[in-house]
Amino acid sequence: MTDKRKILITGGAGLIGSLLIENLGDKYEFSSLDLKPNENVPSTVASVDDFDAIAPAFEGMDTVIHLAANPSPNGSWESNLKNNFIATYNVFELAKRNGVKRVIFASSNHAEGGNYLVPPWKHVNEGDYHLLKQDGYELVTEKNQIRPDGYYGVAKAYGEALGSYYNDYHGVNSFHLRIGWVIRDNDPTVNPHGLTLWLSHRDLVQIMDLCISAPDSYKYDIFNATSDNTWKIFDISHAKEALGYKPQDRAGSEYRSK
Amino acid sequence: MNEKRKVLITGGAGLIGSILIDKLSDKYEFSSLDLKEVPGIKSTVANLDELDAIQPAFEGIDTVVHLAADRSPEGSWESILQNNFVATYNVFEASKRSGVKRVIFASSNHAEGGFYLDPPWKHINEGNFHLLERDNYELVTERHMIRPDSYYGVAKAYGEALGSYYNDYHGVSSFHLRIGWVLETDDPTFSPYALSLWLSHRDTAQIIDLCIGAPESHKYDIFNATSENMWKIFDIQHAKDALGYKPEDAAGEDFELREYKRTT
Repeated sequence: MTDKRKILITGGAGLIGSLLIENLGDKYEFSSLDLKPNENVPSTVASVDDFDAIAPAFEGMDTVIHLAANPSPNGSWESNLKNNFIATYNVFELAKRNGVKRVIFASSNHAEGGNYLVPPWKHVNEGDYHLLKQDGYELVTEKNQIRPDGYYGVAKAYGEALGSYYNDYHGVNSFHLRIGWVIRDNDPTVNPHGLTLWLSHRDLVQIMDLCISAPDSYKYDIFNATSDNTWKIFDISHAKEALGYKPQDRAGSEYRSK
Repeated sequence: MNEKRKVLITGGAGLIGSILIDKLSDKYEFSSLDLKEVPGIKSTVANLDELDAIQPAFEGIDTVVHLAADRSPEGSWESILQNNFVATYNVFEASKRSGVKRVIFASSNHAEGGFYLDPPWKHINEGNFHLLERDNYELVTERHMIRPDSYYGVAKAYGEALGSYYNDYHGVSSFHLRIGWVLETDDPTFSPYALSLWLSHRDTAQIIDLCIGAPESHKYDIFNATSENMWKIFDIQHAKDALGYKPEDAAGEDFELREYKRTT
């Protein structure tokens, strides 16, 4: 019998954390670190910006999935400094000190959200599909220059950079998922932004699972992460090729409001 | 009579600030924001991690050259958080509030220093030039993925990202120079690393002058910034093409390993 991999989820009581625990709980031994407990797994209740308070939660962990953050793309500088900048440093530093092998960081499309200001992505984001030819325009890849749309997006780009440093110099490898939009009711037809950025619940679970189980020799990478939506802004071919991601869901062209 | 452009230098008392004041004062009206005064220059003495204390220095300023930082690539997280992360936010935010048109940020090669771990750049960094064929290996461009070698380098990458946000959403244009290495002695012959990264004093003045004077329509960019050194790690073609940078100095390949000590 092999022991199950021990995985700490920061933000384990949130939407994404709950989906992972619900769908992958048979495969991995999850625990949660969040401001409130996740009733289904062992939970540490603490704020991730409090280094000493969260340190014990990292002991014995193989993998950390770092989701906790101020999740608002419009969050203030002060809140981002504490909950996104400092908290993410704390996570990588504690991962290092406890011999955690891999951190999976919930980066975000908002690290590249400035691209929505300019065509063709502006047209996609605003649902003006008639101005575009389907599959006939440029997509934003992981190689595009960083172009955040808020302090939140800046903090996500920072987390990717910090992860690269910890991988190269401290042996903590990391994968960074530029997550589109995981929607509570899993219905992307709310608006064109939802249609293009949707990462369905089961596609989220799949891509996280692939990141957890990727071989140890795979040290560092950044992936755009959406479902296989009809009107994309982000190219997801890198996740398909490098991780074997096979999205099962695809948002269409019909939205309820702009 | 045209008034001179008003340029605030954060870190005006440091090495690069001094070079700019020395070489470009006929052209620009400089002021300094630093922990100490610059004799002969309008100076605000304050710590950049205090937004309220530094805000007055930004009033009426056209361009900010942001050099102030904990400049040690080995700086601790705590120091970098305060002097590089928070300070750089304060500079962009104060620039926005005072209507500054452009910030020129001293980014650094350390935002990409992780590449020195791998060939071919490792060979250059270690002075094993014989393992390479000149001008026939890949260079690190501004389009490579971010790969910092320290908290210092992470903070530089962060500053570039923050500048992109302030350009797109707050009308503060910014240029980010991934500066190689500006040396007090202006002599890079003490290590292969210095030979590769050297940015001479006059090339420093030239490229920052080009950034200050670039048209307002040029909103945001990132440039590798070294002299025309023989064994490059960083491609400087983008600065040549987009800014008209014409480096006047070029380090060769002869070095005699010795310690480099700063006096300031």
